[in-house]
Amino acid sequence: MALSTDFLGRTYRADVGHPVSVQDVHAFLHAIGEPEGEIAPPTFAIKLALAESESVMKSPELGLDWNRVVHGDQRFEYRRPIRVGDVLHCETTIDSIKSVAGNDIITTRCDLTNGAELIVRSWAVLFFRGPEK
Amino acid sequence: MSRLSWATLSVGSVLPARSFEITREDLKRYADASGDQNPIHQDEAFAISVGLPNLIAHGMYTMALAGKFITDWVGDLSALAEFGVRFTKPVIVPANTPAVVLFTGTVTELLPNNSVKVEIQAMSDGVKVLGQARAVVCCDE
Repeated sequence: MALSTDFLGRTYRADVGHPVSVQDVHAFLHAIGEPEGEIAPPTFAIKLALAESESVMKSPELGLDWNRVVHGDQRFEYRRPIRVGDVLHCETTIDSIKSVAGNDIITTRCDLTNGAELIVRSWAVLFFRGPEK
Repeated sequence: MSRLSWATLSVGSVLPARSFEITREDLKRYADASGDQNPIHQDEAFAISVGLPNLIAHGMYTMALAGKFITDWVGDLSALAEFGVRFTKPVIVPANTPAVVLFTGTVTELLPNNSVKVEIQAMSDGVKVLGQARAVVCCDE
């Protein structure tokens, strides 16, 4: 069943802040072949953004099957890079809902903030494949 | 950190082509670093059981390498103002030989504040794996 457009524009704010540890940044840098440093690489924000999108999509009220998701598009706008020592809060908004041929296509926007400061805004387009016919 | 000089760039300036190898060990390391433990990126039998041709790389890992391609070119990991891609086809990572992703790119627009827009292409095994891959990059004067 297609996801109700009632969810359009709804925002979910995670209560818990995520401290950016030196271990997390180094592991990510290492995984993509970068030398160690205190500044996170551009796609590091996905670590939090996608986890938060997953928890919103899987929440009982939306009830989407994360096992059927395909990541279609990803976009970031940076105010400044994420650094070791930031404590990131994530606010996830459902920016668009479409249903095409039994698949739900949902765009989530994730604002990562450190205190009152917006650091990275990102958008993910997620395709939820409908049940096999 | 010193960045590429904006004054030396024009529309059509080329980012020198560069290829990256991706092994299954790389995907395990990326899964642990990113938290994305989806078995389609680590378990060949599982990937095939859900209809994929073989084990595939995380799209976000390919995007991370695309980011490195651009930030190495400009000379600073923190030089991006915007960055977006479409995941058009998966990068297939066989068991014993690394997958190879070839990146090429061009400056498509000169912007104010020493910034440029770049558009990049990513090919693996003859297939275009990213679409609409663009970034706004902040340079030095």
